[in-house]
Amino acid sequence: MKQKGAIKTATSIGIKLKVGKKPSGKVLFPEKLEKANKMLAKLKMPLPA
Amino acid sequence: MKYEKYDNLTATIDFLEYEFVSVGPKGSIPKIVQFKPTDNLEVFNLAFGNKKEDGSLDDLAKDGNKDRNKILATVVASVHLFTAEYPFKWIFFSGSTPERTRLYRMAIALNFEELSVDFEIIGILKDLDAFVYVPFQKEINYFGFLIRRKIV
Repeated sequence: MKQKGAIKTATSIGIKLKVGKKPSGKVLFPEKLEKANKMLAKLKMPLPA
Repeated sequence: MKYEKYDNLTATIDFLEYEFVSVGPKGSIPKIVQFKPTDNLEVFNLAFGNKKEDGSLDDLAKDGNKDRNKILATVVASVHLFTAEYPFKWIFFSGSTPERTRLYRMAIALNFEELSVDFEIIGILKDLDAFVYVPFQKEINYFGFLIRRKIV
């Protein structure tokens, strides 16, 4: 069920999507993730519902 | 987006990592896009860059492949795919440098009408030692951006 979302979307936007690779399990860009977490920790407003 | 995009993408089975190949005067350059959960359960971080031959990654590279818009349009395509699987999650992204964040702001501004059909887009501003957000406006320099699929 879950896969239909992206696969159907890929077709509708003209992408040939090949699914099957195992996730790396790694944080590939750690500095970027750290930047996001620091920002979210200091965000003064709750995210829109 | 109005721009041509790379149309061959591979995705991991959890739809959190996408790969494609940039092709241009400097050759074929593998690119990787990753959505990673943040400490806030509602937000994933979006990052992308080059996958180098030694397996390491580089999000500061200037390739000279003359396909910047095509790459950005392909990253937007990966946002469409991710949000098809995780429709209630926010995505945070910002540039590796202030110049790149400005480039992303200009790319959003140029395509705002089209993007806002499918996505809510808000800009993050630094406010002294904290952060606030505002609806995206074209002429403001932001710290970064949050985007989420519109729920219809």
